[in-house]
Amino acid sequence: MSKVPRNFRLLEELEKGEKGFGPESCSYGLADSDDITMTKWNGTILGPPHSNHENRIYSLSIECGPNYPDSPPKVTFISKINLPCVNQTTGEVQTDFHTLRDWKRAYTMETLLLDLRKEMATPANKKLRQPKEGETF
Amino acid sequence: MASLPKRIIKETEKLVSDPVPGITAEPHDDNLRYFQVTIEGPEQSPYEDGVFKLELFLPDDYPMEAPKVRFLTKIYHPNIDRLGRICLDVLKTNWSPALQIRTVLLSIQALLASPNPNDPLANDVAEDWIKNEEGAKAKAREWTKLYAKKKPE
Amino acid sequence: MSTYEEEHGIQQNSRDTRETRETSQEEQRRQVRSQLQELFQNFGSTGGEGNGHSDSTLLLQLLSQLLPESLQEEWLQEMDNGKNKGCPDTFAASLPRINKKVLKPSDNCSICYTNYLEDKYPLVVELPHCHHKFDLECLSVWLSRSTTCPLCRDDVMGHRVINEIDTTEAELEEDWGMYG
Repeated sequence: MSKVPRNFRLLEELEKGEKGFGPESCSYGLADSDDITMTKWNGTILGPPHSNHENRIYSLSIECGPNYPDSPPKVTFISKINLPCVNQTTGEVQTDFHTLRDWKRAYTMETLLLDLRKEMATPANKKLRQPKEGETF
Repeated sequence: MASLPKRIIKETEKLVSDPVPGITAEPHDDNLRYFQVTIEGPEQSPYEDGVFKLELFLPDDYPMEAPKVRFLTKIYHPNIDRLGRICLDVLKTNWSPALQIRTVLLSIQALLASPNPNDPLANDVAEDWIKNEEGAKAKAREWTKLYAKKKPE
Repeated sequence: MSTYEEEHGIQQNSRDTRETRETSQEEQRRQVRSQLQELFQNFGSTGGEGNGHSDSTLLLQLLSQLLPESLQEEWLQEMDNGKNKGCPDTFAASLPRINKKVLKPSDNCSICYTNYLEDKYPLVVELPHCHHKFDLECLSVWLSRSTTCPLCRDDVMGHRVINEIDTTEAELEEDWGMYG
């Protein structure tokens, strides 16, 4: 299989995100529809059920640099969240979060958002005390 | 990386040895299916004197599947959207494996010479084109000057 | 380095085990979607025939109001694609083979660009109406997804020449509706 270059890969992801055929529990789209470099994206994660995140919608910003998807994107929570893998001053997802640390070229922004959602639902994290809803970093 | 089909090698050689006037296409060193392309704006069109950068990728199924092509230079055109995606039938339903990189790029150059606002990809641009063709063309010329200026040799 | 598919495979597996409940929900959604799609496409194909189909026409109208336009468009497109989809598997194999003796050294397949005579035992076939020649192998792949001649767009299952493609690149065909 040949390597799909960054831009064409991002166009594929954009189309999938626009059509809404991905899972309902997360969504993503270009932050600026004029940005021909397709660097900045917005994402949302619907908090997983049976956890303190239930019914919350988390906003994130995703930055796909020039080496994406060979290198992982930079992901930052805009909505405040208490999660060990999230820097509590900046909202940035730490680069040692397993999906970022063990990043593979086949991973997509969707992979990342779904994995973060799973992280919220782990036994260790699901009952963590959360900040008031609607606060931002 | 998997070996490159003979056809792609032959097409690439010919693009270099016998280039199409006004068009260049060169594969990236680290991905021979990924080309950087330039197309000169056709004479007598609002894109005249502009040089437009594009990128082209030959998917695994090429030539059974069409190449993927996108403008990297901003362009005001009813069939090209803000992300540079192109609405052109030979890139979609009317693809044939007897077409080639060369013919695709010529079709794109022809699309610059004759925009089709009745089958738009960029709706706002198409609307402008239909309502106020002269104004739209003036804007296309302005964008060409702004974004597609030829580099001094 | 592992391939895209291998990586995908691994990813899929780990996902399946970790998220069974969600997968089954997703599965259900997909089923509902495909049932709706079937309804829509069935009505769409019978409803257009006019008389005697007023029930399905009405249902189609109702469905159309319920479904987002983008989805309808996509499903209609899918129907079109289905119609245009390839020839029966046996078609390419049944085409007349070309004797090696009539091939010139410069003759080549316009799909793979290989000169037929480079192969000691070339398998070259000719399409029935337009007489364009191709490697059997190349043409088979193409005809599994299309019913047109790569060179002239002749509908190989019928007798209709749709339009000539100029591969000499001397000039562009503007009238086969360039805009997609």
